[in-house]
Amino acid sequence: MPCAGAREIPSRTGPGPGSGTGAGPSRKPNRPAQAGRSGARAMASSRLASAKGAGKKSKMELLLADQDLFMQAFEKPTQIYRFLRTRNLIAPVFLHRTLSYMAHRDSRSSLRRRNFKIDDVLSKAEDQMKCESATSSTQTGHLQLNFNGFFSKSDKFSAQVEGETASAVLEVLLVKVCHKKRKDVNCPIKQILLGKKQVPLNPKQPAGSCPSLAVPYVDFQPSQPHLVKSYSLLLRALCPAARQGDGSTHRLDADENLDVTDEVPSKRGRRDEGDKVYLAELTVFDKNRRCQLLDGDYEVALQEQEVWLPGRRRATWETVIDGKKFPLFETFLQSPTLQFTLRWTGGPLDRRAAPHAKPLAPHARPLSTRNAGDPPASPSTDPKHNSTRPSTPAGVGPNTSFLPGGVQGKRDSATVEPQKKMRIFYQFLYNSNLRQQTEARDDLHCPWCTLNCGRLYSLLKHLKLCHGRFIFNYVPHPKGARIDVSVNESYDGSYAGNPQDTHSQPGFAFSRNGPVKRTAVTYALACRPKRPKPSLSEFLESEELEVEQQRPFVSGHDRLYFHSDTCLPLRPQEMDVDSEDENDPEWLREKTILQIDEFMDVNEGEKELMKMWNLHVMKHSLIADGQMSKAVLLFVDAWGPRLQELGLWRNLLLHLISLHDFNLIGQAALEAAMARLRKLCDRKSTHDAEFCHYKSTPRQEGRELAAFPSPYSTPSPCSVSDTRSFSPSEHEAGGVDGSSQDSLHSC
Amino acid sequence: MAEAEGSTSETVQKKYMVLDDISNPDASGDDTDDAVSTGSGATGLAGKKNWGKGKSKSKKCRFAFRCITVLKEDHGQPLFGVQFNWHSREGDPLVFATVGSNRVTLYECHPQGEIKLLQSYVDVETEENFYTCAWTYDRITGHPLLAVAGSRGIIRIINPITMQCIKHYIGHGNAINELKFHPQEPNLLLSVSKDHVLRLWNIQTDTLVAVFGGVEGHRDEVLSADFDLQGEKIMSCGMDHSLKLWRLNSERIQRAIRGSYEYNLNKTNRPFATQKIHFPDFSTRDIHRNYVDCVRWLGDFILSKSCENAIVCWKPGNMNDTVDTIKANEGNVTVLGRFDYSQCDIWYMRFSMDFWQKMLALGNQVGKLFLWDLEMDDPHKTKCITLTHPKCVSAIRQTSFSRDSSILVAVCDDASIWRWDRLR
Repeated sequence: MPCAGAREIPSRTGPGPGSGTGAGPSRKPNRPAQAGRSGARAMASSRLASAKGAGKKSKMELLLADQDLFMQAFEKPTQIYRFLRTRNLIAPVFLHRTLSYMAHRDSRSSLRRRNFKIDDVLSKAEDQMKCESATSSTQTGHLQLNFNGFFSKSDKFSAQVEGETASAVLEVLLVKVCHKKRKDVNCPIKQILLGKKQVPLNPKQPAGSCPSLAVPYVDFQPSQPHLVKSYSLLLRALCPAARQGDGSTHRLDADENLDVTDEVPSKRGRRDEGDKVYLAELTVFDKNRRCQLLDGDYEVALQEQEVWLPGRRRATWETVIDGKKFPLFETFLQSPTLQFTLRWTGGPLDRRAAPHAKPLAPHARPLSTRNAGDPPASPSTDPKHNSTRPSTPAGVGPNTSFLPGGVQGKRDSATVEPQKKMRIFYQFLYNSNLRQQTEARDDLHCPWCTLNCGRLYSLLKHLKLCHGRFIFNYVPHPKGARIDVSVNESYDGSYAGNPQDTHSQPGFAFSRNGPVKRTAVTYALACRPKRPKPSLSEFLESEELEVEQQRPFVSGHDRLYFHSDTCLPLRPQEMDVDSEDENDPEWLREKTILQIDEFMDVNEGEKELMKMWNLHVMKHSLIADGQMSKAVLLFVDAWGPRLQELGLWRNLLLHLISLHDFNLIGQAALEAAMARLRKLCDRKSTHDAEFCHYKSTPRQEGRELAAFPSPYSTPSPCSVSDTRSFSPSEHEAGGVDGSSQDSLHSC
Repeated sequence: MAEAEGSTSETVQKKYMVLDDISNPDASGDDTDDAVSTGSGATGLAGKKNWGKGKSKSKKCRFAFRCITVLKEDHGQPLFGVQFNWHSREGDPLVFATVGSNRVTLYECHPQGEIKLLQSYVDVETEENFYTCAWTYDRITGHPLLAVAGSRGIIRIINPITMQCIKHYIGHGNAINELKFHPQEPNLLLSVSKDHVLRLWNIQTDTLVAVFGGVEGHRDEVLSADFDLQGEKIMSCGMDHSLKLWRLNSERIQRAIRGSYEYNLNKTNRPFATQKIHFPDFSTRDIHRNYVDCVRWLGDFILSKSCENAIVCWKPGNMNDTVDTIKANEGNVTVLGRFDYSQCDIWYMRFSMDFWQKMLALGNQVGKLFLWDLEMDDPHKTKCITLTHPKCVSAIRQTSFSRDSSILVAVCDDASIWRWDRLR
């Protein structure tokens, strides 16, 4: 039986409730696949709560099952927060530093904003342009390099050349790393030789006049702005080879005695003739045009050309266990070094590059100031002096990874100083039983989103506000703080955002490609509540705050409405447009007309009048007998011209008489209506007559037209042509009028 | 058939040959007789060469097809729709899309007979069941676009180049049974729905141009609709056994279409004034006595089918009336011909025509494919060839020809996809 609908659409029962609205791509956060099993991130210690009477096996199993349930309960929110954390890193919805309880994370000062005027932007830009033009015209800036000497750690080597006035040839090259074009595999690199210098080899005391090199600042300025990504100095030292054969073997022995695990000495051993070439690379300006080389004394470890890999990062994380020799740390012990003093002169850097260098300043400045205190011409040969090197030699890994870490730690300790020994115990509760206790390190990172909150108050506030799927209760603890974590059973996870966003076109509401116009549905609510002084007591478990009333995020229309006629989503600004209250929708009018047309026993004139009358009654929703007198007058007013046009004067009279016969209208109303129609007819007929006259004498244009009292013509040239264009039809209408009236008369 | 081999069709046959030579130069025309002589062999799957071949009742059929490949999608749910992308240029890969379950899958046909899986999209909603798809292109970027819709009544526009669902349209109150793009305006999309109405969308400005249905519209699910070649009229059909004509060349609709292009959501606070067309320009219930589940224009004639084992070729009005002068209250229809077949009395089975409207293909519920040659002087003499394969026993929901008519793809209820290549 085909009618029964043989299309077998498989009805699959879906798992759980479907996602509510359905339209649009899923907005639900996907569960991250890499999510770990346990709740918080890996923390120091965890132990099972000691349950009473766990001796029996069945009880043990029960406990394990219970533990599984506990894990499951905490797993989902944790995964969600992990996902949100990553999303917030990539595309932040808000910045933590703008939150009132995270004020200490905001390192910017808004002092200048108070005196800020919009004109300042212009004057500032003008100043900067002036500066730039000044520097480019004078080109006074220089990078001054004074080379103190080339040091080789091999004692034998230095002793050997001691007698002679040994020197190494140092080539300084400027390396410009350009922006990669699409076809390039690697970044194109340009090298410019800046100078060749003879540098003393292992000088005992600082030489009076050390070789120096001045690099004009212009060299660092991009000729074409976007081409060059970063600038670095490539130092290439040519060491004279050992003169005697035994000298080289000696050195080989010496190297082996040092027991270096790196492959450098062995390679060095293999190669025993020709000059040695050592290389090092220093970044002057990085890709953000920040100056990396500040004024100061530098000691750079150079590496042999064979080993040296240009521009390759070799930063690695290593565990340092005391006593163990660590090859990378001893680079400065083993490899030859070059000592030099670096100065920026002529000041273009002070004005332009220094502000750019600001982010680096916190860790670069103390070191460089310390350096400035030292006499510049007396660099100690002590390898422990490493720490004064502000920049890292290229290819030497540990410093790059080591230095920022150290600085980070220093800054943290400065901010967290009052609670330095703080310990935080997270107690995970499930079914009001303690399931797991986790002790946090003495930093105040949020365990779910690794945000460094800095203070305990901030941490608690953050946990409470940003991780609402859990309930946090603060309990003071002698060693620090205890936070009881339990799953918030009454968490409302429903969509709290703009309901329009769920239905707007993809990319419209949640575009990742830039700003988009969003449908405004809520009004900005300026709320300035009296904030109590931050105190930890607000996080203590209390009875009256148990069911906390949360203000809804959206005020006003927080749901989506639909147009009644098209079922399309209704935008808030369209609220007033969509009207359903009209009595005569178009389809009904059309239907009425079609239905009247279907009558077989009514002539065309009657049909027309019936249509007009029905539409009139529908439009004004005339329902009572008492309205009829008024209705006929209105009808004549509204439809008079049309009646006139179709010549339905007598049909109307007939209709009015029948209304009168049924006692719906009085005689007065009948007469008034007819009088009104007559009036209209008269006006119309004079009108027509004039048009007829006009038509009969088409050559008399202009003047006569201008004298017309017709509503169609105004005495202006353009309207003359207008009038002419539709006058024939107007005339024809009059003709129809006349003829149809005739026909009515005859019948 | 003898007449068909006469002078008129011979030139056409040459045209075919030319077309075919372009797509596959090393094919020879001799295979035709071979294919005819071979019955639908019952050899196993191993003998790929002797797979199902077109068996023709007539001795001299101008075309024959051979089954080349079969694929099966892993969801095992019925595939309801298949469409080749006809907007590709010559030399472009032959790409087709299948829909079924909550999947949309794109394939490429290689000349060697392979079908390569290109992309697959899965709706997040497991309850979704896509019924139909249609191809169009972006006028600005030239990207092909694929519109899909199904049981949830949401139209999605997929861009296979960026591999994203770029648009979606809600509004239909129930499942969408067919999507069609306007033949001239690639932005005008027609959707027909279980909610008894048709909607015309402008996918460039995201506006609903018109809703066809209501007072005199369909009284039950609309199952199919088709634009005529100029895109001046739509013929729709549905479960109420009726076929309805809706004209698009009226001033009202044309103004609405122009307005839809000018409408900018961001610059106005008023919704777009959607036209509600309650009265079709012609309507008939005299062609079929059951659900009408597929309709196509063939010039000014209409091909439509119900689940009565026949595709009917007819025209509104009397023999001498032209479609464009038909009045809304016209009561007559003229049946011009019937294409009979067997074992196809379930509904939601669609026939298809090739790009040049020279071949007509329909599958039945036991996996047989019927092919008709439409280039007949006398429609009563049209011969049918049947394509069968012993393994293909599931209902074939839809078929699609590649633009050069060299490949016919059929999709079945058991999620299998059958590729038939034309023999020369």
